[in-house]
Amino acid sequence: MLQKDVILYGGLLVVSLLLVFWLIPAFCPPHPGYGMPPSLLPTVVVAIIMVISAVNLILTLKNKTFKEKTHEEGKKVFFLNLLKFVIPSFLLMPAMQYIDFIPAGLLFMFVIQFFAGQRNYITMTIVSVSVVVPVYFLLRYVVSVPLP
Amino acid sequence: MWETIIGAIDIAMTPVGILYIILGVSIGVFVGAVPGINGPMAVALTLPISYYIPTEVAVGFLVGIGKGSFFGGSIPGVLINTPGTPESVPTTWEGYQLSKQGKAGKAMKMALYASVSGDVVATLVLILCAAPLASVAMYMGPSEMFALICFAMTLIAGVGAKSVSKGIIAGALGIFVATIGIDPVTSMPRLTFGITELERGIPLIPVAIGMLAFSEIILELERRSKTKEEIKCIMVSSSKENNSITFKEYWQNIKAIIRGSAIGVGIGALPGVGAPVAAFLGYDNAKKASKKPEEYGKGSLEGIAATESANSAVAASALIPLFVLGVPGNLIAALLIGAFMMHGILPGPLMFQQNEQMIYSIYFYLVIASGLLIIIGNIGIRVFGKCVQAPPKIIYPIVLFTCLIGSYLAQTSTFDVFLMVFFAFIAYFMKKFDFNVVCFLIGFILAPIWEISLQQVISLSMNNYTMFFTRPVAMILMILTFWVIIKTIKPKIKSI
Repeated sequence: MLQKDVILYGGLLVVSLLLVFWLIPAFCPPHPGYGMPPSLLPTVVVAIIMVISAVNLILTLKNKTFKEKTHEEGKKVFFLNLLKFVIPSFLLMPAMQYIDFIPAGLLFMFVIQFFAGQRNYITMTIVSVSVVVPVYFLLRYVVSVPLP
Repeated sequence: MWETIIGAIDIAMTPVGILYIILGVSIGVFVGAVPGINGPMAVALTLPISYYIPTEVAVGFLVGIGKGSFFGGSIPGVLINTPGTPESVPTTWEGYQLSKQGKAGKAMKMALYASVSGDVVATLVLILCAAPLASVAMYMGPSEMFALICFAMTLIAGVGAKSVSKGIIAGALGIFVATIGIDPVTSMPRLTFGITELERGIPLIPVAIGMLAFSEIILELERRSKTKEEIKCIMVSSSKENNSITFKEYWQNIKAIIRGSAIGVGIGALPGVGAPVAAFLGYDNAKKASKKPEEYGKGSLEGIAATESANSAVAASALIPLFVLGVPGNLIAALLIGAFMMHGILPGPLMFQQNEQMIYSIYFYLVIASGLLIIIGNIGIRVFGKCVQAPPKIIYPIVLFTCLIGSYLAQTSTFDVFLMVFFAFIAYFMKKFDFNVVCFLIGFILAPIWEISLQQVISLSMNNYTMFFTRPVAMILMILTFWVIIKTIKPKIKSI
């Protein structure tokens, strides 16, 4: 077991407890008196997560092998790298509403290509235009869907 | 019956329908050929298109992508020693060795013919077996359905995931997410946390795109930025002998192809086991049965034939449990449930009664897709061979943009795009912590059917929760479920 497993199962245990004792009872409709209570299935599945997390947490702590910290390259979380792609993606739709589909799309493609390691600005322009403009015409005139 | 079949072919035989199948197979081979992109990812991305085309065409198109990707995955394996998909790893072991001998074309042709052979066998088994099995499955009530889904999910968590406990947690999380929305009994919002957009539930498309495509591309970009690896592509020889497979060579490997196809059909028909298991089993079995086992690892055509026939057979055979029981055989089949549901059809034995003509149209498209794969594969080996060198810096941003537009397109909802990015974020961490996203997705897709079955059992039995143990089939399935759980956790308990 790794040290990160302690954090993982501990976190899962806390979230499951919050769900079972607070969020599920608070945000599920009351039992109408027939059939299955609306809160039963969510409670059962979260209880399963809770039990497994608790068992794994106890086993990890009992074995005391959690101190053996290994650095598997593929398993390391690179927050900055994740945010580089997630933040522009979250902003794309609001940007499309404010500055229109094509400018926002082109800007997004430029930013993402830059973060993906592309430094040739001519290629970036060609790729951005050849993707965003046909998608705009496809959505607007072929599929005829309301644009964001 | 013949009238129905002829009617179904008549409906399916449209230029638009055939065009979609050609497009599906071509997209499949393309995505298989580009390392880092795979079949389920492409199916998730193209799922929104299903809204705009008839059900049978949508299913044919999506299965076409799956069929194409199984073969396409072998191309980068042979040319650059990098498997395009997990199921083409054994093909890479043999194919790259043949490439170094100047026989890349021969290796790819063998992969193509074996893929098509395995696929044809599986399609025939599907056509011949699904309807009779469905008529038996008609006798299954809600308690049997509930027990069957329990069994399928345990099997997926036990076999499909690296860690059983993590597989079960992922599946349970998928079920929990699926319970968000309107409660089926009270018709009141459940777990929506006051967010109005969540009252319609969490749709499949943004979840599938986020978890399968978006998160995977971010991980690929991360991996590539760390390794800075260069693609060294072996060029295909111009000699005709090294670029073709003679009938004699094909016939010499026929036993491996038949065995591989049989393994693929068997594995595909089991819920959730998937093509990689079939490919490795097929390869291993062929090696053990081979007269020349010493050739394995040095460029054996037999190894390629066994692997490719086994993994391609999964594409069609995974539809057997889907059509018969409504339980998916692999991830692509799970995503097909979404395509069916978009058109108001619930996969399962009732389809054979209520949508018989549609089923035969789907069969027709599956056969057409197999034929087209051999044509597209033959024409496109050189063209798709170039795809393996496609720069990720260009391809991946395009895929990310397509993910965002695809999520929006499904229901023209901006909220769906946010959901997609959110689930991509979740999937990134799940993959980093070794949680199987396939378990999550299958739990998410099967949860509504599971909950309805449970509701029906409880209503019918007047709140008697022991009803599963009073019906023989349900009881056997529940016992099997517990057996799988005990069998998979036993070694872990022993090791403590």
